[in-house]
Amino acid sequence: MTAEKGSGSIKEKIYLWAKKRTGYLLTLPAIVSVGIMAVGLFYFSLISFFKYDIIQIFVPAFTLENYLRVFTTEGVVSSFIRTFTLTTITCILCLLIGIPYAYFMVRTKSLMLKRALLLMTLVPFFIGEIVKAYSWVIILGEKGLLGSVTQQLFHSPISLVNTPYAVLIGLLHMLLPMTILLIAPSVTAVSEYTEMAAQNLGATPRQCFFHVVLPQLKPGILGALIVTFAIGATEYANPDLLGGGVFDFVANVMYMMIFNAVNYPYGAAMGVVLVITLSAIVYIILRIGKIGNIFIRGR
Amino acid sequence: MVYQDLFSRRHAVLRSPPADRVDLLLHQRSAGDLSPQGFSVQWYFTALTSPWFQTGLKNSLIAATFCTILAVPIGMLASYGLLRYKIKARNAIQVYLLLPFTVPLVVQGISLLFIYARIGLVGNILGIGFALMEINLPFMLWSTSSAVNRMDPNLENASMSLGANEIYTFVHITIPALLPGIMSGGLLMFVLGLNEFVTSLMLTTIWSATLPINMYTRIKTAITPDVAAAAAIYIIIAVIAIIILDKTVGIESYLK
Repeated sequence: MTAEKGSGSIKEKIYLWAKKRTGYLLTLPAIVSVGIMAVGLFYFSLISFFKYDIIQIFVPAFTLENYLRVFTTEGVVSSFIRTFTLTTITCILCLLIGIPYAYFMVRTKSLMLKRALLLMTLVPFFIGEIVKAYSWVIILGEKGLLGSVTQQLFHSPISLVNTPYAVLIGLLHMLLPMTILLIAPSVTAVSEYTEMAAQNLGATPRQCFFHVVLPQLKPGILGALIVTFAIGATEYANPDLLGGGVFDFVANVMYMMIFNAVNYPYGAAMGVVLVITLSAIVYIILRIGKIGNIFIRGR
Repeated sequence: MVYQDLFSRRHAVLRSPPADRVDLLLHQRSAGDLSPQGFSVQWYFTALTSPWFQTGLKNSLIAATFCTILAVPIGMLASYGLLRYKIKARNAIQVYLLLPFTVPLVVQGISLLFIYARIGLVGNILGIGFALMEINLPFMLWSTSSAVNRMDPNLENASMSLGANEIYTFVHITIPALLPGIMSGGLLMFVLGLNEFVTSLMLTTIWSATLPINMYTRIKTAITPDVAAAAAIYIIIAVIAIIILDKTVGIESYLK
């Protein structure tokens, strides 16, 4: 009897303990599944401090030599610069096209147009990077659409494949739908009354957009910026297929280092530098924007 | 640019199954002209009947299905817990759950490879399914959290005040209310899983290679129109997914 009572109270205690922490418990599966990757990531960053050995691949002896090589090898440094420059350009273009697009898509009165614009962003969003990059190879290649058109016009085919422009187009095609879909909910959240009020008080449509609408879109824009920047800067397939090995991103160089040269420590050091740089950028954007919630949609 | 000379890339050729290379040598396929030359559905049959397509599609479907089965409860519970309960470390957890986006897919693939190598999961299709779920989890959270946000908390309060306990309320009130978010998130996870490339590239062997990997291998060896046929099938899948989405929750839900 007493034992039963005792176990009951333990159950009660567990119940109360769990009830207090329901939020954490519900988040736990997600935390664990990301955690499995994070454990691997920890191991990965550990290897970046190990010494490279031709036979054993790496020996557990602490060294900073790999990091030194990352910062002093011209090819690697230039791949970092290339990655971040091109991603920044792409993100700026995404915002320049995406903000007006999202605004127009949400605010247009024609349901047909709204759905058409939405479909134009959803279809590429649902198609993977390999298919997209391959389509661009067909369109921009020397023997593809662009090549045959320029052959007809100028009697010499122009190919954009294996140039920065092709990588830029590929990245833009990948990141623009995400930008639009991440910004659209925050456009919906902007009350039309605030715009009406501004116009009532004599603001031109332009002033209204820049001073009334845009500040309210800030969380959505920064959220989109974070996601697109992170995905763009870590891209592998686009530079590989459209850059053709002459316009490699950090991920490509790292992949070669690890799987082709089998220099795990050096590749790992590059990976760690990339992760740290990106996390710092994300943190700065979060801090500057003072946004707490990235996932929040539909307020 | 020394490293480029050192590692001139023929990785794809090394990866492609030997039978494929023999085939390539025997038939001397032209790796070239992509301009349209007449209309034919021949390449669809070529693609649909070739082993690289069939096994790839089968592996992709298994992995993406497993990924969706895992992602739906995990994503739903996490966004519900994050947004509906007072959590002190909410911001830290959010930044942490965004790791799949901020860590490069190549790094995530290698990180998972270390773990999988320890527990013998390399090349296991379910292992790939888990990896797909992990790397795309933020998309799932993005979908479900919007549903959580739009849901009226009074619904749950009403259910509880009428005597239902938490679990009954969660199953009969909360889940139905969240269903639109779950649908769109699950569908997104499935389609993204079918399309995923980089991480799968590291975790698969040639026998468990998914369709995007087989397509990549073929693009790298010789550009033949059958890859374009496979790509067209992906576009059809995307369109079907969007139609399902529109019929069930309505694509306008993406605007909210």
